[in-house]
Amino acid sequence: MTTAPAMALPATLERSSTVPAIHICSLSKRFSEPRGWREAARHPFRRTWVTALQDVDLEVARGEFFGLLGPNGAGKTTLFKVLSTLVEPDGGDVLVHGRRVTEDAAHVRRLVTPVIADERSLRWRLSARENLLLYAHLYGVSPPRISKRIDHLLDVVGLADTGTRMVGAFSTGMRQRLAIARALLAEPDVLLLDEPTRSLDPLAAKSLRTFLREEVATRRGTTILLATHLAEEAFDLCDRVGVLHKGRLLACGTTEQLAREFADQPYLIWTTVPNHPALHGAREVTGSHGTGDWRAVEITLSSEEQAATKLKQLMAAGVPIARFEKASLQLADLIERVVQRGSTS
Amino acid sequence: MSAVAAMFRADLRTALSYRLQMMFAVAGVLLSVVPLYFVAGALQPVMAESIRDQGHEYFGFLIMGMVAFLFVSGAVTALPSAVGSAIRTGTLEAMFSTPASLASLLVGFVVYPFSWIGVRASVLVVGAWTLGADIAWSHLPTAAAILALIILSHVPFGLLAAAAILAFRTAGPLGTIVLTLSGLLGGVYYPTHVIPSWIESLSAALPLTYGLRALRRVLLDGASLGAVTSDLLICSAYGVILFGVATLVFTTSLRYARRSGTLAQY
Repeated sequence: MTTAPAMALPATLERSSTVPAIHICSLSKRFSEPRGWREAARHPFRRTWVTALQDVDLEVARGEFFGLLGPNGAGKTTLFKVLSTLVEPDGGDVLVHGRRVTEDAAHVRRLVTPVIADERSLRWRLSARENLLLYAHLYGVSPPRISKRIDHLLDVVGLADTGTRMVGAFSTGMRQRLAIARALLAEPDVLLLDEPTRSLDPLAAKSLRTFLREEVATRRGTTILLATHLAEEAFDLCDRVGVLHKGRLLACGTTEQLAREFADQPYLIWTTVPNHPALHGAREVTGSHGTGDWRAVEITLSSEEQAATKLKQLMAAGVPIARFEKASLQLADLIERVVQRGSTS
Repeated sequence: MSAVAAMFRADLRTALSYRLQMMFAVAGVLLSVVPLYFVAGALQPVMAESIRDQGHEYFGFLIMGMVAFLFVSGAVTALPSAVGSAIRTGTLEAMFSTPASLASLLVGFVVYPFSWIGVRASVLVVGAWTLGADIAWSHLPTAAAILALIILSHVPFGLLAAAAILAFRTAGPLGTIVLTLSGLLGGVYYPTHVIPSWIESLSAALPLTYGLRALRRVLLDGASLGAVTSDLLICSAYGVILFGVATLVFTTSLRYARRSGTLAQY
């Protein structure tokens, strides 16, 4: 886990490649919980608090694709709101490209753009193009570039043919794509994406992921923070991921590192004798019928060395094996393990 | 095009998408001039003496009062209404996370509502002029400047109401109190000196009293700017003092909303 040094930092660090895109040190935030009439009348001055973020330390490098995982209510959205200066932290330091979000909010807003995926945040009586035109000016895009940029983004999010249609007539997925195009207008240094493919069909989601990885992250070098519940986004897109739970960052690293540390890797073995004694402990994967009598069984192994040893044992025991392969790690399992260990430690 | 102009354009395009509503609103203003004309004509003999230094004609007096009150209503309600609506629809969060300055966003929120009021006020004045109201058109630029001063002296109430919406999700009775007092005691429908003496002092505490008196004297009586200087100075003083207080309260409220995490939460 990358942990920032717990020391006081100057108000503005000099901009250089050594300055990380995001530097978070001991970030804490709690919110007052809304109360009912009776409770407010009984104890007018008492407040109950909900911890949204607690002592979060995190450093994200420039150009990094960072995934934020965790169950609902873990604090992901609050962290994004702090980074986009919509919420002020209670304690700790948050710097974007060396600029403090609390003291240099105007500059930070030029660097960071959140994708406000709430479809209500669009102007429904305006066309997609008119919506983008409004925000192009709010983001300060230079006027000669606006038209070309809007055309490009409408094309990227697959709305080129419907750009002149009123947003009120759009489907939820189309509005979400427009919200993403709106955030990309600014060509930000740091892009915050909160479940960006939530309402997209599989093809649109795949196309957006490709665009984010190839165009935004790789070609433009934009730092991306992505809150997601999808394994394919966490494992395939992100350079590193962090797991948040009840406001605490419990783990941070590459998915391989986290899998090694927190969860055993599942392997699939295709065999004709799934009940062979050498496969004791393996679980037959239901519905896995290959050609002929081949069946898949799943075993969990902690390392590749152990996998090699196991394969050698099975061969020696005469177990017929057609394939021996790594199965995809379930995101839910990984998060569950991290949360379990975090709760007990 | 700046952020303000872009917001104006977006609001205008939105309003134009409700064409029928827009046409009915303009027609309604135009039609309201006719009953005012007859009511003012009926009351002219009674009011003539009390308005002799503000144009002599009660019809013109009434129209100017209504024009000023339209703008005062806009100054007090446009910003809180726009902020409340932006919170409800979720656009506030999207706008406040852009690098556009707070000042340009706030101006952008009200520029269309004020332009629309300007259209309706123009319809009202032209309608009244068509029916015979005596208007000193050569003093129109001066009158526009006085109207701007009236607006600026009331914008702080709108800023305070918007601050209350950010902090408490309601402006409370602030707008209603200001508009009721201004409407009844600011000289919109009758000159302030006919008000019973025990509440006349309250009338003297309202910026509209001074601004509106100056507006009528210039546009209906043809008075020079010099003749209304004292009224304009008092109106300006209200604007400066209230603006300072309202700006302080608004920024404090915005900070509170950012701390409590309720900036974009209704």
